[in-house]
Amino acid sequence: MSEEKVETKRRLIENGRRIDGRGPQDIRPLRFEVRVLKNANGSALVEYGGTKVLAAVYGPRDPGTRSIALPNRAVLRCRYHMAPFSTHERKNPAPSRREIELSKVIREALEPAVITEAFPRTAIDVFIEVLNADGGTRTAGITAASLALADAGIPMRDLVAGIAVGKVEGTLVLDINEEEDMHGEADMPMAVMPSLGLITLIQLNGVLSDSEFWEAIDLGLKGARIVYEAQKEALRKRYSSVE
Amino acid sequence: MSSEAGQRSANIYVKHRDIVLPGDLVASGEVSVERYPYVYCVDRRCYSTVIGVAEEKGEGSIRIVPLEGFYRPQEEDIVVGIVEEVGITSAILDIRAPYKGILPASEIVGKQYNPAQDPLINYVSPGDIYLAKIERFDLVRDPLLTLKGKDLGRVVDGIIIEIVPTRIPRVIGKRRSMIDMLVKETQCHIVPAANGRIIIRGCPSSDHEAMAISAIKIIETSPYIQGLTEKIREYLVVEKVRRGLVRGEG
Repeated sequence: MSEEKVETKRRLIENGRRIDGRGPQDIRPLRFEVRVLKNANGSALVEYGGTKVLAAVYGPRDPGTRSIALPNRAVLRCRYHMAPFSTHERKNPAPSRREIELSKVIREALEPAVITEAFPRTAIDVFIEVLNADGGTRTAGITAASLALADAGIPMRDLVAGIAVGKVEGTLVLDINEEEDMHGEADMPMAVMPSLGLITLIQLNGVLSDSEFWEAIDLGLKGARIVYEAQKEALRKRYSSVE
Repeated sequence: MSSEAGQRSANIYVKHRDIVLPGDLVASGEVSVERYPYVYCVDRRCYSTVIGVAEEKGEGSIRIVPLEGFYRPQEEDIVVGIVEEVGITSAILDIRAPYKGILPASEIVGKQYNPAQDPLINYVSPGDIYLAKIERFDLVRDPLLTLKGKDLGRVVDGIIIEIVPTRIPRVIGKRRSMIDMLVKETQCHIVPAANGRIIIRGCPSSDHEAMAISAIKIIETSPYIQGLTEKIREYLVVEKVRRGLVRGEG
């Protein structure tokens, strides 16, 4: 039994290479595309390796219910949802405790970026749909939502880039996948506004020493910068024909 | 000395007509950057907040014109509104904005109005279209519309097309160059409203009307191309020949 455990752990990182062949500080291949849905005001499709997330933004618009409207700013409503086909086993489409919590966490990661004060009494709706889950769905969701908000023309202080740092067999690794998340020692998702140098989300599941924590932050900021550049590239690509 | 130091520290990091994205540093120091909320300034560093185009407005002054987005109502804007609801003392209009337009009954009826004797529904129905001006708007109350002004009132003929509101300045052009050219070439009466709705009426034929629509759609899909007015004029001339409205030369 204990031998089996050792075998599993050994597989996660070997000769400095991770289970999918990446080095500890490598990010999975990124693919970002904006304006993928016609009916939404803004939308984006984001892939971090095997993780695929779609985000759609509507608004600012009438909140529908007057009681939830705020007199001094727009309400940001966020819904994170995993499609029933996004996991190995069918996921019940009803919102789970985890999805409700992540909806709140993602909303709070986006709120510092969106200039909600410009649109009092309105609502901005963000829908995040996980199409394929392979670790890091909340960070991919934040990246996708941020692109969709920019695509909708909603003023933002900066784009928000999401990235997760993990600890696998004593080594800090960037952008962990599902396997590393399940069997690793720590998982630390981060959301960053790189131009302003601000972190809007940081969570830590597992144990890191004090020095490891600060090292993980540095690694996360470095990863967020790579994601950020890819976000900007995706937005700029749409206007490549502008003279 | 301090003002000299301030001027020395004024930096603009974008060129005229550069595409900017949220988070792009556009200027720092003592610069004048227009258009809240499209620019966010912190510690004398100004960042773009939207996908837009940088426009120089003289020395040490720039502004960001958004390329995407929705209509933000502003006082004095001319808008095309569609009646959604008819109340007792006012009608609620959809003006393609996050806020509904309020058109008071006195504006519609145009005389001393008594709702007890003469319901507003006798004068206006849901679906009616009005060309109106935003008389008052602040972030506490919904935009108040008025019909007092030249050419304002109910729209009873013509067609309405909708484009992205941020393209309207391009449809009008510098010193109305584009809109004047469109009117001259198509002989249609074209009224672009700030909320992205454009009224086209009084065209000599359906061909002229179709040409006006397609020209506006081209402007919508290819904004910020240098010399767009000339390109649209050439398109309209070719199109008129193709449709047999004028004889081609040679």
